Amino acid sequence: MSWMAWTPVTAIFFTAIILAVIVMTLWELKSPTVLRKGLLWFATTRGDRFFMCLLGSAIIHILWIATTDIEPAVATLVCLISAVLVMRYA
Amino acid sequence: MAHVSLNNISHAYNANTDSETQVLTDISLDIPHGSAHALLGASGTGKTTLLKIISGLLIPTEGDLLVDGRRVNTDSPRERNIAQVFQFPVLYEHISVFENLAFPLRNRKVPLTEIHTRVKQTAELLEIDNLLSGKTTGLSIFDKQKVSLGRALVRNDVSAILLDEPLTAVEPSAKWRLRQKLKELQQELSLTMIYVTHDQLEAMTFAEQISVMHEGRIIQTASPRELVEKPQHEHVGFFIGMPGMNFLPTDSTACLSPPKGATKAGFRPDQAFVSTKQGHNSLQVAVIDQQALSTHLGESWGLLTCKYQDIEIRTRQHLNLNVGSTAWLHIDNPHFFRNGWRMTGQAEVTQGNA
Amino acid sequence: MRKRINNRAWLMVLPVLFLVAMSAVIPLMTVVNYSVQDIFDDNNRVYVGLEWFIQIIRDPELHAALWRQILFSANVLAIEIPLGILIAKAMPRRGSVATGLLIFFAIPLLIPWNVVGTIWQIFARPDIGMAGMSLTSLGLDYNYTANPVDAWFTLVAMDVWHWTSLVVLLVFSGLRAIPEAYYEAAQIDGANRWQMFRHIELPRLKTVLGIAVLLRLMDSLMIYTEPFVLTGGGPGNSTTFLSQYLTRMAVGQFDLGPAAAFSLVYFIMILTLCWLFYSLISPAEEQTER
Repeated sequence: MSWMAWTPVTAIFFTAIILAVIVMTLWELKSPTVLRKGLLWFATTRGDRFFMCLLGSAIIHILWIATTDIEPAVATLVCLISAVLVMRYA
Repeated sequence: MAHVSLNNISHAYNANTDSETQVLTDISLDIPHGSAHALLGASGTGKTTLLKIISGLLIPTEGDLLVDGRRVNTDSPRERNIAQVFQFPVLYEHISVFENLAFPLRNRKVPLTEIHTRVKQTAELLEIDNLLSGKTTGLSIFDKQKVSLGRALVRNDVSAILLDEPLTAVEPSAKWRLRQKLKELQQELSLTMIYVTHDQLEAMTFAEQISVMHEGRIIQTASPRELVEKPQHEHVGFFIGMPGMNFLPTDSTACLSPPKGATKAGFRPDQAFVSTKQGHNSLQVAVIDQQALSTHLGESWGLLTCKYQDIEIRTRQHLNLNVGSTAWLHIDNPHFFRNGWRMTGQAEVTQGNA
Repeated sequence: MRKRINNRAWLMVLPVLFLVAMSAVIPLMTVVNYSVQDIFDDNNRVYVGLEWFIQIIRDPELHAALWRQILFSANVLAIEIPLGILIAKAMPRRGSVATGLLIFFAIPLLIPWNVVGTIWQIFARPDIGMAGMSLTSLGLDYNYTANPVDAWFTLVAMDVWHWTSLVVLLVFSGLRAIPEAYYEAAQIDGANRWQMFRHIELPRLKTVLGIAVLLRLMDSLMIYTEPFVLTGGGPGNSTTFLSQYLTRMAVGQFDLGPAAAFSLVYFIMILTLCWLFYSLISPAEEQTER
């Protein structure tokens, strides 16, 4: 595994994502998702919204470091808030 | 509205090439103003081709098409003022019901205020005025077909409305309602309607005159009653009626005293009965099936199937025989046919020139 | 409308999922790992956090490549989509001519991409190539190896030659799927050719065109082989697109950290576009299904 050049930070990062996917799967098994139309122009499932959260977080981070010098951790905080909003209202 | 007449129209696909296929032969038809006319025939008999010729989508290889006495053979569909409703609803799905109805008017540069009033009127007539603002997707096929009919009715210059099996796709429960609506509109607005179908029941309830088509020809044009009582051709007899006419070759049924030259005797299920008694002129048959349609005071009425030599014959009668037994078939006044065409009286008059 | 979704079919894709994990997810994880480290060799690597990302995202050369990329993709789409529709519309709907044309149009799609580059490299040469010589003999000062505008023009022409066929094939199949009755109804309604296109064909081609645009957009964003063979990104940097820039960084200069960071940003960009597009075409499909 040394060729994969793991670092503690990335290991935590991927573990978190994998855990999230597992939690989403269990949630799905417990109460299957329904397609719903929220604030966006198309209907989404829970999985769609989760994907949008991940993708959105990546975009927010990229735009953040492209435009400001403020600590990227603040961006992470913004992402968490927006993720909650997306999961709830999209 | 107008008078549509077809004079000796023939049509062949790929005319004047090796692969020429004749689809219509010598069609003559006269459809007076404000009448309901049906073209009845099995699929592949050229009904739809004939409609296309009337609407202008095809130019016939021979013959004349007259609308109000004017020859319109080569006029484009746009110039011809004929509307058509198709087998399945053909709608413009990206625009509203209102715009769908307005489409033919907009294309003809009708002024906007007139478009509004005409669309409103048409929608009220068809009872779809509550659907005008919505899109066509999500409507029932019944409503969709009404919208396509609306596109025909909205034009006030329409000479005739062609209906190509308009009930095929409609939900079974709504078929009857749509047929009713069509009939109502036809009578109220005295529209000239030409209705293509393979369903005799539809044709008979809708039309005043029915043309029965077979292999690219019209073999008889008559009222529904006449088609049942005086079929001019074996196929009319066979096609019309539930079930159709029975046929027996005359060479083995001399007892029916066929006229000279007759090849077949035809009789409807209610023109014959089977009993255990032998009469004169009766044929010996084997009873093979009985299908009850109604029961009254312990007696069953229905269809009886018997076999004379190898030919299956159906009669409508009391079902008081045993399946498998031998009995006698009595035929009352059969029609006689020669080369497919019915012979009238003892004279050898043949219809058409087959 | 709320509808329940049965997800059991997903079990069937587990084997594929495994393959994708091996071929895509693990390499992707590795790239993420690389992007946060400065790697000297197997045993010497330093965690640098988001340093590479910051460096990459603020790199003016990358910005220039990005704009060139966007311009190129826009160029290619603006030509290929309308041209593809026109050609597909001009083709006969059935018969042996249509079949022959389909085969003819499929040919460019079957040629390996580097061969396409080589064909055009020779074809466009001002001294021996047919296109190049014709242009020069017309009195034009054409030389794609020296003039950025000429290089750009040649690249776009090559991409149009290579990929318009795909649009033609997709649109052709879309047109074929439109029942004849729609055209007949429109004729009877008195529509002219433009109105038929606007009200019958375009609405029914929406999904197919969406797919065509998506495919062409994704492909043109990832274009590498053809410009690599034809111009090598030159003259200067005038035809250096994102993937060329990335390759130069990763393979040419062996800057694994920045290259990995760049790959990820590139990946997120394309993924976002893909997703946006997908979400734009899918509601239309749902409507027609009902």
